[in-house]
Amino acid sequence: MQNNGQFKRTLRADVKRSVRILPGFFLTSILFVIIAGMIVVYAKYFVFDKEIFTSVKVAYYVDTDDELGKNQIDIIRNMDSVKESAQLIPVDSEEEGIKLMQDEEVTALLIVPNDFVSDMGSEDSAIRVYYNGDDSFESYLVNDIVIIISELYGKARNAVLTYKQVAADFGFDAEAIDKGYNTLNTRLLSEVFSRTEGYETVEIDSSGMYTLSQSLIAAMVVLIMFLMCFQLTGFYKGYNKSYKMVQTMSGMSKFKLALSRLICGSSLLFVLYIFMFVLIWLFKKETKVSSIITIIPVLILISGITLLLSEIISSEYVVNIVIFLGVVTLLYLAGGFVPMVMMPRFVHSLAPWNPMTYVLKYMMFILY
Amino acid sequence: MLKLNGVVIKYKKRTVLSDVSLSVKKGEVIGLLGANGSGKSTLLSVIAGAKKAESGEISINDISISQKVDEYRKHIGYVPQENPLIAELSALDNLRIWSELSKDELMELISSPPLSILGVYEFAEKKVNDLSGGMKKRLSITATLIRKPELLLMDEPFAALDMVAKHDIMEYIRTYKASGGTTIIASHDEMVLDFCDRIYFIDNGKVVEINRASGIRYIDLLRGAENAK
Repeated sequence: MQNNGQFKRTLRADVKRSVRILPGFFLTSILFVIIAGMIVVYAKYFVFDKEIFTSVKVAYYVDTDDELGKNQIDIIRNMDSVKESAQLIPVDSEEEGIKLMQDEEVTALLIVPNDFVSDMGSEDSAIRVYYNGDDSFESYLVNDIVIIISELYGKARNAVLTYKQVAADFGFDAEAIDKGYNTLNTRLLSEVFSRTEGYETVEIDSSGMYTLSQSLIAAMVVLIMFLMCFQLTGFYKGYNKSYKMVQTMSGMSKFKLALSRLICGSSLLFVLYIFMFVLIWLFKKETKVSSIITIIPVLILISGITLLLSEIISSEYVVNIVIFLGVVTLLYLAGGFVPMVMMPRFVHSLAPWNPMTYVLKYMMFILY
Repeated sequence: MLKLNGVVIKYKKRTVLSDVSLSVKKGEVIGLLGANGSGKSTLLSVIAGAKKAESGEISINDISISQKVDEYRKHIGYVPQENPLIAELSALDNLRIWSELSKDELMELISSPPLSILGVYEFAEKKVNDLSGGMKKRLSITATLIRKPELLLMDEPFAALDMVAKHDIMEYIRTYKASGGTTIIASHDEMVLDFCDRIYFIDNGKVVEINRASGIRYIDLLRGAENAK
């Protein structure tokens, strides 16, 4: 009971300390949020829409005998919207395409079945999309490509079926129907109308379907939280050795002393997150309100890492340097600033070992 | 009241103090003198129960530190050399960490004798950051005393203090002694000799009691210890 009383009094003192640093904490966070907001806006309107899209590679396979299918793909490849999104690379077999995916040479693989156009509408005519789905940026682009192609084939399918029905209703002979059918196919392939029907997606990771700006916002939230820890290190180092020693003599364990500061540090970050959430929500209405609760483990993690470093490293300055360099490097390697697809191959293999990869994924999951 | 028997203290595998045996009676003021780095602070922190001795027995009122450390610590108030204060908080808020009393009750306590001698009530609302060294030391002592310890351990309480602060702290120690409190002061300041009942001198890892009747001067003890190195 006496120890609980000591803990409550220590916590009360730490709460008072937190309240004292809150105004400075808040003002600094505004500065960081403004800078981060400017980076996101710049990236969204001047980087993502033009430059990066061209770098994603998507393999496709069409049977060599299916001339009509090949022509369709060639038309798709040369469409401006597809050119901006990805490079479509032909492969000679399904196995070759899968091998390219395993070697991470391509992001996705489209398998167009034999006689796709003539079989449109039947159950066997689905285009298969192979996709690893590890990276939100890539999944976003692949999704974009699938939608574009879907629109094209959807239009073709709809028109062809309508033509066949009408021709049959008018009593045309079979030869005339086939001739008209081929002509119609060729013409329709350059138009866009409907979407998605006739597609079967394989192993698409739906949790990874985030836009580039969503991904960047999540990274910025994590970065700002860590940068704000520069102010928390001073708070965490507010206990001198003598104070800790006397506290220990009064029955407070090291764990309880840390817990008191951790609660206050996490609460300060929580207040900051509420502020950031409101700003994000104003610009992105799809942001989940529930993230106000689900963010808590991330805040405790960030606050805990800072506390741990503050306890291990004697200089506050060095703690801040370690946090800054560590977080910026890990975020970069996790694809937080530059999409993973732009990174060298070895960075891809590092991603599963980078804890920030999972923090970012969790952030995007709770935000969107 | 306090007994140390055959205590050995090591720091990073080096023996700092060996075979320390001494006893302190209730109401005594004991001086612990020695050169810088001689082990005064280490011995005091071991007596306080903040650090562990390598071997030997320490007890207060027959409560052994090795058997009932929490019970043992309740009898002791320890004022380390570095003030155990939180800089961003007011003096009163710092005191509230160590006491269940309300603000008003604490103000009442520190503005009444004997704690009023230390004068903390005069700057209770000021932030520790804005206090002088003397004020901080008064506050540290007050923070220890509001827990009403039987044995007060003070590590260099007069270091870098002005004359008024020194006088007030000495005045309080006399009052504390008169009320039956026991004090051990670790210092390298000769003025401690004037009001201590007994003096122990730490010399090359040994703690020896000085016979004050012999008239030996503190400076000669320090020179002797220096020459022995």
